[in-house]
Amino acid sequence: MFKRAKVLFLYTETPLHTGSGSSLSVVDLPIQRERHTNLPMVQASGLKGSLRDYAEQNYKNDANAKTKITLVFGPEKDGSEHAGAISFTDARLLLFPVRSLKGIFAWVTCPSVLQRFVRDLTIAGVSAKVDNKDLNVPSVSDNEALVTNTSEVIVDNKVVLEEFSFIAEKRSEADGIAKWISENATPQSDEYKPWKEKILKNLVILPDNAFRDFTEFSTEVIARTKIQTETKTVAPGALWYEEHLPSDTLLYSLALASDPLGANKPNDFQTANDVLKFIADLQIDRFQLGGDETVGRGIVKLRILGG
Amino acid sequence: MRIFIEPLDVVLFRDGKPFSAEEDIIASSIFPPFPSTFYGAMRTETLSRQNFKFQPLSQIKNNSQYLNQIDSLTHDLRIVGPFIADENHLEYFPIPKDIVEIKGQDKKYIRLKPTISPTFKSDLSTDISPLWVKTNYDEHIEDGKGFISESQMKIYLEGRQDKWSILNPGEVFHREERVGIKRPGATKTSEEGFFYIAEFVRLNSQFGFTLDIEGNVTLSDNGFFRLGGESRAASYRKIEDRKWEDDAIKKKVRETRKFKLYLLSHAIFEKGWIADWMHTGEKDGLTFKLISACVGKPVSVGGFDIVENRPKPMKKAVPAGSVYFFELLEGNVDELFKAFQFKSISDEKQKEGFGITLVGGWNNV
Repeated sequence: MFKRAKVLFLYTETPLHTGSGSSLSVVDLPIQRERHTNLPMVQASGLKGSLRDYAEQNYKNDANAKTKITLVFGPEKDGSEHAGAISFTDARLLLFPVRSLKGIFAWVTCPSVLQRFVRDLTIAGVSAKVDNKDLNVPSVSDNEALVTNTSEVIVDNKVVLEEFSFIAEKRSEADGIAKWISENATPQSDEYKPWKEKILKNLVILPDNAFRDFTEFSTEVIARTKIQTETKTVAPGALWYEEHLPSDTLLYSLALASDPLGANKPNDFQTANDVLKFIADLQIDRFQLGGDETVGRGIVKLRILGG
Repeated sequence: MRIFIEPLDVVLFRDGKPFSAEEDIIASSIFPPFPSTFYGAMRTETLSRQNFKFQPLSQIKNNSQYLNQIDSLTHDLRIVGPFIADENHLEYFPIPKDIVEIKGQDKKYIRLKPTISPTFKSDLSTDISPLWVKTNYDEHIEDGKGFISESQMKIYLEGRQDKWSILNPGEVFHREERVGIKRPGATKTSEEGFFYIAEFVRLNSQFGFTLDIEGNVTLSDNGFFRLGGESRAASYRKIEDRKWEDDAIKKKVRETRKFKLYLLSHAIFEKGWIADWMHTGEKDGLTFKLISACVGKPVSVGGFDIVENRPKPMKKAVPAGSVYFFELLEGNVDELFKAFQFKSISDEKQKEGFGITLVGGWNNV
């Protein structure tokens, strides 16, 4: 049914809060996480809703485009009439920024995340090759952190992230992964050139457990209050904590397209290719994802690859 | 053809309970999913691969030409499965209902057997022997839950006793509840009355499904398709055909002239828990006698008819894992296996993979 796929890379420029809707801990509004790994993610429904919203704002006064929006994303009211022509997977975490003793911060990832990423690229038909060689996902032993040969986060043969130290191990596999991400996954515009180079120097591959711990305990937890205008003090009961994915996190999702299914398809809108072209033609550079839009959260830079 | 299916992330296999705004706001999932879900997905996939032009739903109601065209392209499609399988395509089947768990003891299982000369009778039928097992004084039994591996299934079907190792449901999948809202673009706030909870299923990373597909099917070597609710995606790839050695099981049946039928998938029988031919004791030239049965609580099998835009009639089905014990009176063992092994005994929805059966041996010892 799905005929074409693209990979969407989402780079958070401001903290991103996609709320899970439930809380059992001190954080009142935690973020969405995968049930089996507990890694942060963005549910597909939120991503799809945001992109639909973007498309609707973009084509506010264009009736022809409105038909296409319905064909791509599905009918707004009568959902049983036909399905949309595009499906998204949940946006998964690829790189997570963690404070580093040297180099300000490091982008950390882990073997299980990378293996899944390579598998997803294969499914989407995107080449997971660097310099004509398949991306090789290394294994990492406990207390070890794999870094690139040009790494700038090493202090005394150690990588110190937050208050935890790992033995630094320079590995060519890390070079390959950093190069692939730098070339294919980071935003393309000029202002990102320094970041593309920084990834070659600041990528760290941690053991799976250490990576998960950082994504659980090093997210941004922001305390919010409501100030009463009259007294300029906090309103009673109006203190809450929100969890955010920090800025400079890199996520990815697959967008899978089928031929449009509804009635009255325009002539130039018959195939899965046309569906993906519609998304590409939106030329989305940045868009807003998740909650707290009016306090500047969830600004995401998009890069689309493959297909 | 046999394929291995991996959901890309979560999947939604809805049960038949109502789900609507404001009132029934929870959409819960069943697991394992009904085979009909996979049958529908495969039918759509094979039509799509043949460049079939799908029409909008509003135009296909009463459009017999269109529906006939679908039928002619897919009438011989049959599936066996889906079965839970690991990344090496080793399969795990629903635990047979005659393997029961000792309450309060972690993963301790024993097997029920039909009694030879029961000192007690059930009020269900005088012809049927009750099942029993001897336990210690303070041990109580309960239904086993989970999945049994392919290799252990063969030991079970040979009628051998073993220290069963069963995968708990939690080792195969997790349920993942997700909260949803409706947020109209104009207000950017959530709309009153549109709050819902959908219970998705997430398979643990090494698991997927195997599916045998028969008939004139056009599938590529690998691809992806929609599976279950919310248009979630799954990838598939062709894999080697199933190798199912059953010589040892046949030998057991030849020796004892006793066999059991184990249901790999739910079966719908017009008479409820039992098929007509089980009563009469005749099928495909074989004669047999029903000795006992170990049948789980009925499951409701429904679905949604998208052409008619209404729910399909709800049917009660005998759950997967149920076991029927027989004595073979007349007939050849090879013929017996030919009639039942990986075949459907369901009275309905046979093509859709309901009522798929395995043959095993048993004795009272």
